Amino acid sequence: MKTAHTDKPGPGRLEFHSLRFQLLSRSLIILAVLLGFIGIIQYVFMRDNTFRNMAVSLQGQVRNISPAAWESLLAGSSSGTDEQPRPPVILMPGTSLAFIDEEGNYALLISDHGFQPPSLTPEQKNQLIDPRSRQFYLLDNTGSEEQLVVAVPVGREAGQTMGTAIISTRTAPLKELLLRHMLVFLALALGALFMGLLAFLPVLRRTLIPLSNMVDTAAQIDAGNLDRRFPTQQGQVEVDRLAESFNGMLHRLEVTFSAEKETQEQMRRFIADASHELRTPLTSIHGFLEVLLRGAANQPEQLETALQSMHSESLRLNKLVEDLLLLSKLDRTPCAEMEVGYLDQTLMEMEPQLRILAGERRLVLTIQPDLECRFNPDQIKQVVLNLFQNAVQHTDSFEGVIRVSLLKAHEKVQLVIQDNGPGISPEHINHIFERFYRSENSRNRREGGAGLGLSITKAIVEGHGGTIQVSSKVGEGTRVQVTFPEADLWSGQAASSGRI
Amino acid sequence: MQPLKGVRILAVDDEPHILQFLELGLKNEGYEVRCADNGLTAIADMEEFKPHVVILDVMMPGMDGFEVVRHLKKLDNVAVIMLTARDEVDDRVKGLSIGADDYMVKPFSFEELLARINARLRNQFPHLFGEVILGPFSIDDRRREIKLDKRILELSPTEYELLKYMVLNHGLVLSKKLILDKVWGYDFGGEENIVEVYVRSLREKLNDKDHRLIRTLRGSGYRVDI
Repeated sequence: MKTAHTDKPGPGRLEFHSLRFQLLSRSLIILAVLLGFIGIIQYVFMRDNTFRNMAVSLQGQVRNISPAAWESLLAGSSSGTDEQPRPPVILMPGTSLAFIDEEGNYALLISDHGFQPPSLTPEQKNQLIDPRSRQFYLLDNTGSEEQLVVAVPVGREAGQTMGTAIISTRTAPLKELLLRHMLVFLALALGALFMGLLAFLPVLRRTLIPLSNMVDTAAQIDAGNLDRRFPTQQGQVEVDRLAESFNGMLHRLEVTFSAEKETQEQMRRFIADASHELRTPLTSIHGFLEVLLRGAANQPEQLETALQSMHSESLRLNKLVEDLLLLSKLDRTPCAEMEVGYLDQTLMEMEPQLRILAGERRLVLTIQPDLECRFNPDQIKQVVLNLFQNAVQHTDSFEGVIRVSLLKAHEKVQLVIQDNGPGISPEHINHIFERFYRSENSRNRREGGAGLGLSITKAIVEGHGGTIQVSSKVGEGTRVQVTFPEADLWSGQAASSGRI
Repeated sequence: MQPLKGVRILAVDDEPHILQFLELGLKNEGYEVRCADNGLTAIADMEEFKPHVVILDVMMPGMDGFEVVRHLKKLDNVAVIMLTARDEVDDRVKGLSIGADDYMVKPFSFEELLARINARLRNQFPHLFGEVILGPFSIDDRRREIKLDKRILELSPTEYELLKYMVLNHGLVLSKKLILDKVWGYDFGGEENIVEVYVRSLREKLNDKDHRLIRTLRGSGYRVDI
C-alpha cells in the first residue's frame, strides 16, 4: 500500500487506488452484472417459451390424429402382439405416445428411442387437460431422461371421451439448443465488456483532464506563490465548483499572508527607526566623551561646548525613551483611566500655556461651554499640546495664525486645530501617523522630536474611542480634526487596538 | 601616530551634534576639517575644499548618503567612510558596492574612526606618510621633493604638483583637461596649452628628450611609464 502512495501514478498506468481504475472497474462490474441479469432472464424466458412451443406443437399433433386412427392404434396395442404394426399416425421423431382409458388402464402406443411416457395420476391428468389451468405440460424426470409430457383428451365426437392421450418428448435437444443460445450470448457479453474496457480507457483519461490540471496547478502553489488560481472554466460543473472554492480559499490565504507581511514589515521598520533614533544621540554623547578624554577636556571652551551638546542629546534620548514607553503602554492598554468631565474646562486651563507656545503667532480660541465627555485629562492635554506644537513648528513666527476650536457637532465633540502653514503634500499625508515618520521639511531635529508625537496622539484619541483626521492644502495650511463621542453616547469600550 | 599636516577631512551629517564632536575631535588631532549638513553642500565643498577623506552619514534628508557617494566618487579619488545608524547587512553591502571605502555603525568609537581614517590615507594617499618610491621616482610630500634616480629635481610648485599627479597615476592615460582640472583646479579658466608648456619644461628637467618617461599619446593625452 505504501509504495502505491509514494509512487507517482504515471499518465499511462492504472494504479489500483487511482480514480481511473476505480471508475473503470466499477463501471465494468456494473455492466457485467447487468449482462448477467439479462442472460438469466433471457434463459428463463427462452426455456419456458421453448417448452411451451414444443408442448403446443405436440398437442397439435395428437389432435390431428383422427378417431379412426385412434381405433386402430388402440386395437393394435390391445392385441398384445409383439410385432408392432406400423402406426397409422406420424409423430415428430423422438416422441412417444401412450393412452389411458376411462378405467385408468395405461397403454403404450408408440415409443421412439425406447422410453415411455409416464403414467399420470388422475390429478395430474386433470390439471393438464383442464384448459383453465395454466399448466399444460409437465416435466418428468422420474425416468432415465427428463421428458416433456403433454396430455390431450381423446373422443370420437364432442362430449364423448374415450380416454386421454399422453405424449412426451426428450428435453435434452431443447436444452442443447438453449445452451447454444446462452453460449452465444455469453460470448457477446464478454465481447461487449472488452470493447467497453477499450472504449472507457481513453474516454476516462479525457474526462479526468480537468482534475489533473488542478493537480498541476496545486503543485505550483506555495506560500511564496499564492497568486496562482485554479482554472474555473473547464466544462465540468463539479470540478469547476471545487476550483472556485479552492480559489476562494487561496484568495483569503493571500489576503491573510499579505496582511501578516505588512505587519511584519511595519514592525521591522519600527525597530530599525527606533534603533536609528536611539543610536544617533548615543553616538554624539559617546563621541564627545572620547574627544574629551583625548585631551579636549583641558580646554575650557571645548569642554563647555561638549557638555552643552551632551546635555541636550541626553535630554533628547530621555524624551525618546519616554515616548516609546508611552506608546508601548498605549498599545497594551489603550483604555486609559477616564472620568466624565468638562472638556472645555480642560482646554481653558491650557490657554496660558498655548499662548506662551504660540509666541508672536495669532491664536484664535473658540470654546463652546458645557461639553461633557469621558476622558483622561492628562492624555487629552498631551493631544492638544502635540497638535498645537506641530502647528507652531510649521507656521511663521509672526505671520502664523492658529485656530483652536472645541465644538459640539453631530452629537459629537469636535476639537479642531488649524494653521496657515505650508501644508502637507499628498504623498506625505497618509503617512504622518506612522511612527518615526517625518516629511522632509519637518526632519529638522532642532524643532521636532523623533516623529512619535502624532503616533502618540492618534493612539490616545483612539483609546478614547475617537477619530483623528488631517486635511491639508499645500500653501494654505493644515487642519486636524479630533472627534470624541459624547459622554452619554460613550459605551465605555474603546475601539480595539490593532496598531503597531 | 604622527599628526599629518595638510590632510583635509569633510564631515557630512544632518545631526548637528555629531558634526560638532567630529569637528572638535578631528581638529584636535591636527586635521583640517570642514562640515556639511546635507549632500548638496558636501558636493559643493568637495570641489572647493578637496578633502582626502569624507565621513558621510547615510540617512540624510534630501540626498541620502548613497547618492552622495555616487557623486563624490565621480569627482575625485577620495576616501569615503560611511556612517549609519542602521546595522543592516544590506545597507553595508549597498554602500560598499557603490564606492564607499569603509563603513561604520553608530554609535562608533572615535578612536576606531581615527584608525580607519589613517588606514584609508595610507592606502589611498601613501605620499602623505613619507617617501613613495615608484620606479626611478621617489616622492616625499612632506619635504615637497621628487627625486629621479636619487637626484633631487629642481621644480616649481606647479611643476611639483603636475609631476606628482602624473607619477602617482602612472600607467594611466591622462587627458590635458583632466590634468588641468586636477592640478590647476576646476576654477582655473586657462587654456589646455599651459599643460603642454609645463610638460615640455618637465621633460627638460627630467632629461627625457626621447619622451621615454612622459609619453605623448596623440589626441588622448600623456602617460607616465615607469
